[in-house]
Amino acid sequence: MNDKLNIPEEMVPGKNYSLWADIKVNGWILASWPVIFLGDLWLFVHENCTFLLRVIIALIPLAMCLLWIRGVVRWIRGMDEMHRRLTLEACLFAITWTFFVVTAWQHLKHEGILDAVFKTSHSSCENLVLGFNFAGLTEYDFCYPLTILLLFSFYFLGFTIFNRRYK
Amino acid sequence: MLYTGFVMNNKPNNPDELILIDRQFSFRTAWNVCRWLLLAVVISVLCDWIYSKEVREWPFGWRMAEVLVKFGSLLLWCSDMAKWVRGMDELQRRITLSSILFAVSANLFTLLLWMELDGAGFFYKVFGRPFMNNTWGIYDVADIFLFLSGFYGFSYLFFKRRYK
Repeated sequence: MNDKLNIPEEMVPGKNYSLWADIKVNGWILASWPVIFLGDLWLFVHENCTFLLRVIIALIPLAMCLLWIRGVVRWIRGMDEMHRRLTLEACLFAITWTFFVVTAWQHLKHEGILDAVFKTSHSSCENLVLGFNFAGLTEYDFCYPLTILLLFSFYFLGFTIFNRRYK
Repeated sequence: MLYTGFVMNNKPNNPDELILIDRQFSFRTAWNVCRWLLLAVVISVLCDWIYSKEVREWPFGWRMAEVLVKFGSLLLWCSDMAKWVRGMDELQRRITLSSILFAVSANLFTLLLWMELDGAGFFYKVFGRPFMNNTWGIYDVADIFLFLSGFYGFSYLFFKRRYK
């Protein structure tokens, strides 16, 4: 993205952290959060909105996610061989674990196991989980912002593990 | 000596052995690498596709055990895949890792897209009532397997061409 090579530590909180690089790479994903919030708020207020508008509101954050992926790919391509390998392994770790958790969660929801766990014995858990979904379209859904949060958490974990290994 | 720790036999593992349409496809390698995935898919097809109504009437503990067996098998499959990838030479490992990264990312994105569209009532509106399991969701291991294998096959052929 500029003359010098990108380094993965620019994205990880620490002494090499660069807010400017972070915004350049993760700008689209950061911008998608207020868009999701406003979209959910709008759907909450306008319950009878048209089907087409509902689909468009659902798709806008995912389009922004595609632009974010493009930015991350460009960032990784600007690294040296060693950092690229480290970052790719951390990304693979993060995406695989996020995918596993999201799939398992959706499967548990579909099987009715989450209902059995949260609705019978722990009423406070029920409120907590329902609170994740602002518009209340689908209960217990592992919605997009939570998925991104999970992805970042696993990335930091994976990066720490692989960085230590390469040291 | 370089590969002694991770290979399943004496020669480096070859990713072409897992591509069904490739002439180097090997049942033995596929079984060694994907047996746990096969177990998860078979359980998923039986419990989520064929006998889904019966399974829903099972006691909570049994249903929980069924889910744990499926997802536990997937974890074991990931471990086998990691061993298999570590047993490759540098170039093949790079191609395979790129393919896996692409496949899992595309699958995660598809899952998110599907969830959002399902939540917005897109499938119900366009295709009507679901014909299976009372849902348009793709949350079963068997569904995920179909998408994942499709994305992996496509990305492997794509990255292989690029490295040639």
